[in-house]
Amino acid sequence: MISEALAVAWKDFRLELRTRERLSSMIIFSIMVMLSFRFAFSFFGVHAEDPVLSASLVPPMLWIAFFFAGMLGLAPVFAKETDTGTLNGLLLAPTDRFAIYLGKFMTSLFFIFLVSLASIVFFAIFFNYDYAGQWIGIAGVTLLGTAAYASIGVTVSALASTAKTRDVLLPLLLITVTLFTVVVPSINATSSILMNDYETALTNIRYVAAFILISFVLSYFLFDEVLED
Amino acid sequence: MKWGKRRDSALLVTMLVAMLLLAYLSTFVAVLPPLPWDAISFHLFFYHIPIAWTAYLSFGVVFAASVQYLRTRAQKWDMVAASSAEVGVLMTTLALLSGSLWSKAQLGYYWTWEDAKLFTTFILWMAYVAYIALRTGVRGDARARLCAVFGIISFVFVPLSFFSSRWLVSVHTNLTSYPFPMINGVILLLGVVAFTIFYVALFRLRYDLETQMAEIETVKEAMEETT
Amino acid sequence: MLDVKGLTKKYGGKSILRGIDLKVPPGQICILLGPNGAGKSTLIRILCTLTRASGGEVIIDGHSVAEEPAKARRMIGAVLHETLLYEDLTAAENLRFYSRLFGVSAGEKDIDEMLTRVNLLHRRNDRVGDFSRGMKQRMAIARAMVSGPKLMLLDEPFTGLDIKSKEQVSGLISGAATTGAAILMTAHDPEMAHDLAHRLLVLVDGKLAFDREKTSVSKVDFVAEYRRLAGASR
Repeated sequence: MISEALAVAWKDFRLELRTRERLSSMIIFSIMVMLSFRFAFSFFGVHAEDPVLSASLVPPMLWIAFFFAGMLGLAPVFAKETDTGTLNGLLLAPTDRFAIYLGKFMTSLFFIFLVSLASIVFFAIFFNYDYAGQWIGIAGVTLLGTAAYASIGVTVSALASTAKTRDVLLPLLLITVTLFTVVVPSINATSSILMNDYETALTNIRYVAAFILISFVLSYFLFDEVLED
Repeated sequence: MKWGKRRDSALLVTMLVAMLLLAYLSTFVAVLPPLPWDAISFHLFFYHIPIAWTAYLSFGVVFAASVQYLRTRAQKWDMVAASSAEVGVLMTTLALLSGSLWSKAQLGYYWTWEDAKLFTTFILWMAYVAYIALRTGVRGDARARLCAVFGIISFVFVPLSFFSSRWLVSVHTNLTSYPFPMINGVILLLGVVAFTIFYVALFRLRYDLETQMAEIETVKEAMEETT
Repeated sequence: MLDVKGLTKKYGGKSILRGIDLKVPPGQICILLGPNGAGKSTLIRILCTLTRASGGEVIIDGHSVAEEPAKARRMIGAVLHETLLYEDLTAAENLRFYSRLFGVSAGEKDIDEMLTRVNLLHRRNDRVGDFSRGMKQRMAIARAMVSGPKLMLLDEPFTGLDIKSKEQVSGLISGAATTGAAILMTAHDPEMAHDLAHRLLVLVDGKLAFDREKTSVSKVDFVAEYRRLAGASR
């Protein structure tokens, strides 16, 4: 199962490198969001040193950007395969359908995390903000949070991919399932880290980690149903 | 599950009677606990709790029906899930509305985002809406299957949303901290029963509609075959 | 190799397949013809495990498709209406991916060999999207044969091909049969079918109206019979 999953991941990765569609739209989107924030929250630029203010404002801004850029990354995961008919090629494979999920999860996580990291950097540049020196902590929480997002996002994207209204449906489904389970704890964890409150951060991190586990288990049992005809 | 018109009317009448009884009792018989609750919010209480109960109940039904559909592939389970989802949207909307009226009367504001129960119920509402959006967006054979999957996924994550907010201060009034006279408990139970019957009646109506739509589909296909 | 018993398929209330029985032994080329909408593509999709049947049994090399779909899929090489090729990847990359996906370890030499078999070695590192229709079809066959399948299912593989490509594809199919694969394909053209097949089948209104060895009927007779059967359907 793992080698098939890796094959799927490698194929998607190769495709993305060649066409760069997904990646470029995600990066451009993230820059636009950060720029918008820069102007909308221009007062913050002056007060960036205030630890309480930044701990309250920065995590939500970041995670709004991650959420929507991530959605751009999740939308084509199955939409493209469905449209070009290559989904059948995957379905003909003599392996557990979960391998397809794993492969898609790996590439999605890779790209979403990459763009999130880039967003973190853009934010730092635009706001001249240094995250109270907590680069590693922030990156760690982002990795976990984007993993949680991708873990259920791949399944939800598969659900929405056959619908005619998939452009509207995907955001709706994603928000319902991830907003309070992934985004809020991630924001809280990021916030806590910026305030050096590692205990609260850990509670939230454990919660997100549990979410990843639950997502995987759910997807393991349900993914077959989502893809079959 | 073919209930005749008479039985449906009997159901509706029972429900109406129960609700009227509830209203009457809560006005006269209920003992006002030594709280700064005024009359309006106190009566709302006896409606809000049962309504919220049925909102969660119908979600449970959606989940159970979804699981059954995936296990048996019998179309009726899909119809059960869909009917319960639509009734559920209604009940959740009512729960949110009655809750906000109550909080306005009691706490002075209609809504706050800080309360765990509040936004979990809101997420529940969104889950229903999303379920129906998915159902509308997907055509054909895949519809039942995908909706069943989403029914299961959202059922797992809605209570999870609740847990994610454990540490937040809950402004949701905590019943157990106040003395609660027995008679009020009985009335509350009556309310729960009344609204459960209400839910079942609505569900039956919706399910019948679903059955009729399915029959129309079958006739349409049969007609297409002969032309 | 392929054993189908009492296969039925319904979409909603509509019956597409009303009880199909057929057997395809290794090395035999079976060609299934039928008018549009007869259910040929549906049948192929069910045999590929892409769609579930409503009733009946499909057994591939002893494995029931309903109970052991993964094992059954291992034996199958499918060529469908969609090419199942990634247009932005090269020919070699496509084959490399599908080999890995089917659990076949294929080195560069093996890939070269597969491409040579379909006469596409010279386009090894070119984007599949740039290929002509005939080349894509040969590529699709190479993809289907990546795992050395014992059963090949092809859905109207000659559509949109010029004469030369048709000949090349016919050659590939015959070649696969001589190496022992069982082959079931659908087609439109009764004359060409009679040339290529060992056995001929006609699907009309969801049932097999004709199932005979090629040698038992002349081409002229078969064409006439097919026209009659196809014309008689709704």
